[in-house]
Amino acid sequence: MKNNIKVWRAKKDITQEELAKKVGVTRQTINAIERGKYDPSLELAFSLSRFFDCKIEDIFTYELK
Amino acid sequence: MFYMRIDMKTQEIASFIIGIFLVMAGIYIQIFKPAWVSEAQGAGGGLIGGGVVLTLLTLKTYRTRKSGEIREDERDYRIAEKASFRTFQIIFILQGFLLGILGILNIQLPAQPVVGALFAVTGFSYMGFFYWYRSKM
Repeated sequence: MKNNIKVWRAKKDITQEELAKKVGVTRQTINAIERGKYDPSLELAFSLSRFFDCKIEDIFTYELK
Repeated sequence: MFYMRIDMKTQEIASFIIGIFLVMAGIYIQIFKPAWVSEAQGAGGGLIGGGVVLTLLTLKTYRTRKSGEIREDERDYRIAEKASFRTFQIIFILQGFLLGILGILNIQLPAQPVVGALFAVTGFSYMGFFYWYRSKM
């Protein structure tokens, strides 16, 4: 699954650490999500979309393999 | 009346008490050297060391939780789940293989070294898979 969290973070001018604190995860998790190494749970995906005030599809793109 | 509220979770309280108990058991064995303990020095030292580590880890966990710092999250739990599953597979296959070989060849092995070896394999296997999955995820 692809995502553009880095872009959304830049729009809000927020670091990975700050974003991680806001959504209740570690900085390493945010880093892993941005690098595409880890797919978040539904709950975390909703937390992120709520924080950025957008839809989940605006952040994450699911590509069929 | 003096009242102090200690905001500890049940698991933290249990871990703390077990740690203290282990230390006291170790001290008892070191001092009194009971006949039912084969190696009082080693057993006592191990219990004291284990108890101290457990107590300190519990206090550290409590302090981290109170500070609000997030140390473990869903990613860590998912990594732990994957590592646990792979470790279970390896240990299950290994034990099945051992059972088969020992049964076929009618070999009698002493229990303690075998249990110790399985314990070590379980620990190293889990640690290895944990760090491997953490690097992949």
